[in-house]
Amino acid sequence: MSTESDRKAQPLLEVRGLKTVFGPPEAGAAAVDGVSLAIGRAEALGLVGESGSGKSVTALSILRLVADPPGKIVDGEIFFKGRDLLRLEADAMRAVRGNEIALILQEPATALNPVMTVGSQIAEALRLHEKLNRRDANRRAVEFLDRVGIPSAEKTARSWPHQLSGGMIQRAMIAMALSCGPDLLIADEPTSALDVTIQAQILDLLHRLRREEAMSLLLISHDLGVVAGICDRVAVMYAGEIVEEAEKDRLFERPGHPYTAALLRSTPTLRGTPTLRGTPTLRGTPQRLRPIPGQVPSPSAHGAACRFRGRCAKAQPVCGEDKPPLDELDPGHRVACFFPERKV
Amino acid sequence: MTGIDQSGLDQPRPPTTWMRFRRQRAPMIGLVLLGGLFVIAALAPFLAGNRPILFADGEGLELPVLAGFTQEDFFWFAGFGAALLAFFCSKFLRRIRPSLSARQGRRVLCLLLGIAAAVIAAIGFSWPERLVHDDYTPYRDGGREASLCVFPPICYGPTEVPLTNSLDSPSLSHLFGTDRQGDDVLARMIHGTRISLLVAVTAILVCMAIGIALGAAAGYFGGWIDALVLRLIEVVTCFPAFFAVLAVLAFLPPRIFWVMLIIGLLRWPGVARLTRGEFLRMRDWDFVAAARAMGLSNGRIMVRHILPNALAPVIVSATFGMAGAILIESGLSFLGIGPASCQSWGRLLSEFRPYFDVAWWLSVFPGASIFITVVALNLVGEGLRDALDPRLKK
Repeated sequence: MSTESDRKAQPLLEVRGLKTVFGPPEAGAAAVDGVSLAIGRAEALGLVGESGSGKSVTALSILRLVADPPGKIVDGEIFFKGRDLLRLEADAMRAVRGNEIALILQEPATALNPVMTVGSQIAEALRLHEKLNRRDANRRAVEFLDRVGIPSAEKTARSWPHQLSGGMIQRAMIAMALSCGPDLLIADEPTSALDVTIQAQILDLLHRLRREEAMSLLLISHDLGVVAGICDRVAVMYAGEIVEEAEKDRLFERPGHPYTAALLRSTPTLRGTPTLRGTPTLRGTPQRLRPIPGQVPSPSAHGAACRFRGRCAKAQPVCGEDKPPLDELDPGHRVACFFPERKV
Repeated sequence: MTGIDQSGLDQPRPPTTWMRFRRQRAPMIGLVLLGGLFVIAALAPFLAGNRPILFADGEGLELPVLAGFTQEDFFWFAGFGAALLAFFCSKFLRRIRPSLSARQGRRVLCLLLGIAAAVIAAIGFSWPERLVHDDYTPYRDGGREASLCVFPPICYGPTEVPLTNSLDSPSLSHLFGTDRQGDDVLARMIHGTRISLLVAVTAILVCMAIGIALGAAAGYFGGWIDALVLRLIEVVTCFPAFFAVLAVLAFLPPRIFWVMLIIGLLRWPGVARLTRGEFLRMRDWDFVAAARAMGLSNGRIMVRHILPNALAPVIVSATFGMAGAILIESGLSFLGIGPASCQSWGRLLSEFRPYFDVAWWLSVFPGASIFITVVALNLVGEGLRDALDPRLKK
């Protein structure tokens, strides 16, 4: 029973206890294990973690795009504008995809259909969701291509995907994602396959467009620098769980979880630790890169214990006996560790 | 915005399938042969027949060929005309009116073809059943004279049954010799071309319609649909096509249409398996995921996004399938199964069989035409395969 004021205070997207399992139902491996996160209106949340930590599966689960079989969402709730997406009919879910929640994928090389022109692929979604006719949809597609900074947008709209470079395709993908005016944009490693100068341009573009459209953003990346640039809050994932969540400034200045701290230390910069703007600074003393020893444990090896303990310098016997809850260290700063770092 | 990578836009386009196909010699020969067969089939009354193309005897110019057109003649001829029209329109429409965009050009073309199809259907289905009594053979054989009388190059009808010149060996007047009843073998073969091509095309259309639909559903949805389709494929693959056609034809009216349909109904598993594989491979590709993330429906994703990408191997296998269909039809006809009214090459062979040992031309020419058609189809198929998937080559 929610009142009107409650609804206003509600975040745009709220994921509670999401659990996505791959493999057979009994013996399946949980790629995402009890993830809870919330994104407010016009807020940008960064989801960080190394490969295999379940970031992408979380994103796909929100859109219910996990291939079934082998994947299956077995538990949790995904509230979007007050509706539980996991309980929607297939038709209603399709109306959400693209229209209210849009997704940008990692690999630009394969993200566009090779046998359709760029413009017609963008127009297709517009014709579906906005019920535009072909001519209007094409015009809107060109407009959006122009907005994402593609020069000679009309020509690009008529060209085939193989004629575009990776950066151009990623711009086109952003144009496609934005074309129907979504409330939430999920960008799954949008810049990982691009070279660094293009990366910066794309991030810049995402940042600018998000501001202009007052759109919420879930930015998934393994790169703390990417997240630092444009996010308001950051959640850190490890082995299918969220281990820390905080305001961006707070997280970078005072990481509470040993994993986050180790992650920051293993990120290369010119000097010192990464800074808030994501740009390297010349202040501070040069620091050695310190890799995190070991590997992410396989999902089938989890018990009731801290999943990072095998790689953690501060691990105690209690870490192997009980699972640390995701508790508030300070208001707005949640950490899942028995021995959070209190100071810098 | 500065420093945007725009290099891709001005690169020359990679070679199209047609450009890659054109470079191969053997498939091009095959394609020319097939094109020739289609022209022969469409223009059969103009190439071989006992009715003059032009005739004038005091009462003005007549076109006895057209007067003798059957419904079948008309459909072939009009279809050929429409194909020519489409070809020239696609080539010259935008040259005549450069203001038309590519899309508008296609639209005009579709409109023209639609009108043509409607007109052809309207005329064709109301084609009068008439018996033509006027006989022009005296003009050919020298019994009568006319001021103008132009016969087709092969000036004999396929079934004149003159009962003279029986089993003449090939000569200038009968290039491929004559059969037992004295009919010109070449004339009969020219009119038989239609059946072979019609069987090939119809059977393969049936085949592809069933195969693509079932294969796509199986590959895309997986699960129990996939299991069901796979079992169905196994069952149908087990039918020996030849004997299944034999068995089914025993219960059906002897019409060539049934032969085509049954061949198509028995040969779809190959197409289905290929389509299934392609859909299975592509359903997890990023652009499919992107399409789903944009909220497109399954049907739309299957038809608009996956099918065009999955079609290449299917088209290749369809070409080989056409060759197979022609062989099956020829075999059946040779055994005397199927409608006797249908003068296909196999039926000719079956009819000529008792005289093989005294008249070599009766076996060689119809047999060679089947052989050449099948080889041409296979060559085109291989050329298409190499042109559609350049990675496969060597």
